[in-house]
Amino acid sequence: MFEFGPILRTLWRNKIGASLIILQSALTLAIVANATFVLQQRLQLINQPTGIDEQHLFTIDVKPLGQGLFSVGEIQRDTLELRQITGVVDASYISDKPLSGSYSQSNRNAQDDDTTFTISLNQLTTDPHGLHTLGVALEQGRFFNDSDMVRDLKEGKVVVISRGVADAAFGEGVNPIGQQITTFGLPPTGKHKQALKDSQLFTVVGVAADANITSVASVNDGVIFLPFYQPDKSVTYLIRCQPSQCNQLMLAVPQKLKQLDNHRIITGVSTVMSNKDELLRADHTMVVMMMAAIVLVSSITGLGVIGLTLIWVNRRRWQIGVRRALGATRMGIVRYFLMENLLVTSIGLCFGVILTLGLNQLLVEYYQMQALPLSYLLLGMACVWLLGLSAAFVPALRTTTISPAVATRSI
Amino acid sequence: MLTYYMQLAWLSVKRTPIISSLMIVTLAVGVAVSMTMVTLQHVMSANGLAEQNDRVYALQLNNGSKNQGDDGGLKNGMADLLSYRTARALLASHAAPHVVAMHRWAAAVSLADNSIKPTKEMVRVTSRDFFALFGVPFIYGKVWDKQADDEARYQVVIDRTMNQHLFNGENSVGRDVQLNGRPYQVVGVVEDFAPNPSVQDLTQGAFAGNANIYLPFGLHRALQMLPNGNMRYSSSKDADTSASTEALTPEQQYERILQERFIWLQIWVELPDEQTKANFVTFLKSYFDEQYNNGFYERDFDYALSSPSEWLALNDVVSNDTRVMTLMALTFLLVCIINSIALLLAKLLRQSSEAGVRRALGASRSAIFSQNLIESGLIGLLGGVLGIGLSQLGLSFVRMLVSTEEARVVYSDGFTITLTVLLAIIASILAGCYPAWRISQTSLAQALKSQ
Repeated sequence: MFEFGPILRTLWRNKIGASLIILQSALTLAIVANATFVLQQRLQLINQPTGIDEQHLFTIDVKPLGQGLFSVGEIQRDTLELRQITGVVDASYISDKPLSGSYSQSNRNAQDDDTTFTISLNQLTTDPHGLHTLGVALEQGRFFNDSDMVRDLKEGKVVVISRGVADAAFGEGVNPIGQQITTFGLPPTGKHKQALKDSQLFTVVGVAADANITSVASVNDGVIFLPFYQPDKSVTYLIRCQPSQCNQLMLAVPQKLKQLDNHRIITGVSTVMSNKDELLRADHTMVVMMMAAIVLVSSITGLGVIGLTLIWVNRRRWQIGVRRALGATRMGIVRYFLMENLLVTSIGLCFGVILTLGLNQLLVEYYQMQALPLSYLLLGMACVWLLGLSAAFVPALRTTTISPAVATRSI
Repeated sequence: MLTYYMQLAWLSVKRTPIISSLMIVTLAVGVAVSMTMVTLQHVMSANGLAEQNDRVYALQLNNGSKNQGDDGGLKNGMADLLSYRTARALLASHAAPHVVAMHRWAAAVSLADNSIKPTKEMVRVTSRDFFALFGVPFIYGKVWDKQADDEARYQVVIDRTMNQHLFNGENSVGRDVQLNGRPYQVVGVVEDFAPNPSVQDLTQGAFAGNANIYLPFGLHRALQMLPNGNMRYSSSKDADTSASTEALTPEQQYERILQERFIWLQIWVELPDEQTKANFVTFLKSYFDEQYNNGFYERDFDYALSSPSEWLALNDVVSNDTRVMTLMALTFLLVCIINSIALLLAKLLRQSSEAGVRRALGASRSAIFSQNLIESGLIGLLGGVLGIGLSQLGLSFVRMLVSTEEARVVYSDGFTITLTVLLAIIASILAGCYPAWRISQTSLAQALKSQ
């Protein structure tokens, strides 16, 4: 029925030609499987939710003309006015632009009674509207109110921490509300008590949900929110807009700020999404490149199989004619060529598994990529199989036009 | 004979237009893709300071806090930046022939007569040894005086490009440039110094460390300069509480940045021989111990001196992503070559009866071989030429994906073009040799019998 015997004998007579195709399918599998896996991983990173309302956020920088510093009154007036603009959900003062990759981070080793652990966190300075503007939920306690806000952190009494920091500092399941903590996320407990006796301690009043505010992937335990207006030469405002209002507000907000006080420079209106794209540029590049690799290698191999089958069909016109004359059906001939292709591709895939795992091993060992899961290998095999079959299909159909009379014409 | 074979080859290509163009395109795409990636990697792995490789070194000190956790950003286990106080001590010492302390800064550049549009430019704030250490020659004037590294002198050195932009390339020594609205006197004009990657400063990305304007190192206090780049507080003392910040004037706050362990400067030293190197390390150790004893440093003495090539490797200028893409591209090239061999083999074997007739009429095996090799060579040549064109397309595609700084340098140079041509020739010979040999081995009797 499946004519394995004749197919194998034909292939054996054309050893080199067949082994070239086998090798090509094997390499194609190696590229397709590995590229799909890398592609999938990067897509996951790109599409990973950050936990902030990134689609509807933009920032704006304001700088006074001359050498002066910003006054607290000025910041409060600006943010208050910005919140009045229609289309604005909320606006706040913030120390670092979300997802811009620029942030202040601390890594501290803390000592509990007998263990040492590292707390690494971002410090984010903002006003009472900060959390709502970012679109991050409050899990416990409260966020800042106006009376918490200070001009100098030295006078500060309270902080809000994210869930990750709470778990790292006080342990999971411990209620962090009312606990004491330094701006580096260290609790004054255990051996640590002594070391931190001179440090300024803050009371935790709230816990925010975990979110990647400063960078795309979570590289640390979380964020500590500090309630103060940092005296600086420029300030950044974060604006959250209603859906589809962003474009219009990116023009309206600078105008409003100019109208409030014309003696300052307004620069850097940029969406949080554009910051995110910039941060993920290398990953976007990788996605496009891996996609190109898959498309190119599939087309080359597909076209190659079409070309080869075409040549093989033409070379065997006489043989086909004889078989037709001896009673083989059209479909029988088509099936013969498809089976031949299937057999060659399958042998190729067997070698391909070895090559794929070999290539993956290379990537894991030298380039810090991850090990290929079995599912991607199977997916790749299915793809290459299908690719080979569909490529062989069109030339194989051409055999149906060969009439049995061909057998009588030659010689 | 050769022209005759060429004619035959051309006829044969024309007779099977689909298969032939398939082979040409396959080779072209393979060559183009692999050359695009090889060019990218070649650009990334260039070392603009290769000539100074055994003379100049980037310095790192173990200046972290004693209870600092590793955030993964450390190289050689140490920060890549140093504090102002350390930089001052090294500049004042005579431990090395040349010491360069520097950081990046940005300023609005204009002229007093408003003849040019003000632009925001990258500025390198550095000590005067910069030009000697990195071998940057002066076209006009000379470097600022020693005093300008210690106290505020509003002097500036600009490079050829900036001089062209501001003064049409004239000798501009003695004239004024406005930086942030303040006049600075031009004391010298240097040749452009813009290695790609910018090995002298990799802190803001592999291609973002070059500047056209150089300012002396003595201006910090006068301008309260902060770096356009990273600045970290690396002490275990609590930054916000160690001093009562509310009572400090801006000047006092800035003085804290200069005197405490805020790290934000890069230091390069020139150590031409082993003896100088040993002396320098001895000095470093005694300085470090002294500062350790007075509480400035908290960790054990450790240092690293990296040559430019080591520094590039340490900073992962050629990213793993680039390497993975290159590996994939070369595998892809292999697929293309194999594909071409298979197609060519099948095509030539179809013509074996033709070869049989030629053999019967007295052609030698080597004649058959060379005739067929010329045919596959022709296909390889066409593929290669097309591949070079396509690789330019591929590069402009890559330029759309990478950052603007990188896009400026991702171009093929003589080296990569030569490599592309070689690759195309090798690929076509590889693809053509076996099929040509195979067909020349056709047995005469068999070939004739099938007629």
